[in-house]
Amino acid sequence: MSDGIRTMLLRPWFMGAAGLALTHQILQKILGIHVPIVDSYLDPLLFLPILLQLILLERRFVFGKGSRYALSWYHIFGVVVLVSVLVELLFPVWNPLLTADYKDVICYLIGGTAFGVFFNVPNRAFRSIKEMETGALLSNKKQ
Amino acid sequence: MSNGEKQSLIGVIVSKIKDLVNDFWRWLKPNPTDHWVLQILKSIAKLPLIFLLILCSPILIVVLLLIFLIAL
Repeated sequence: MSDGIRTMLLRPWFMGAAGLALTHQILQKILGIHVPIVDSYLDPLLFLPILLQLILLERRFVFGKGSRYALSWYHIFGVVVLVSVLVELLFPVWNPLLTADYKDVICYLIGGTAFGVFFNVPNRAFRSIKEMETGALLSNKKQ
Repeated sequence: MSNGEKQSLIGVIVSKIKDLVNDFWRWLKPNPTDHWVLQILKSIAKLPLIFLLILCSPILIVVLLLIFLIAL
């Protein structure tokens, strides 16, 4: 696994969010411990920041956009709209086991906005070899 | 038409479509000298391309499939 991917996956907020979501799933589904407000809103709140971080990782390292690439607000709200329409509108129609809840859409919006404001930043800790070479070339040219 | 000719024809069509989309995308980039109405129209016209870009994400497709299939 490259350093850039590791840096992104090991970001404290991402590890915390993924760990919290996993812990909640274990508590709810395996141990049968239910806290109604947490069961209702924690997963939709954490879903968008986790998903957007994975999409950002994919765009940076699978599509080769580089470690300084950040998602545009268009992209973030596009994902929020798409997920809301699919998960809360179409999936419940196709699958009766899924239920629609407009409050989840508000949670997706809060999660997406929080990601855009706080976490959608260029990867400062990691610079690719190509970027370092480019930086070295530029500094050589200046001299 | 032979197999090779068919493939080269498909390649030409694909590259033409790519060029057209790239030209359109470049035209959609914000330009402060544009009239404000054109700037708004550009912002609206950008939406379908953004959705296409989002739908091309394998991670998003896998996650949405998982959500749908887990409930089955």
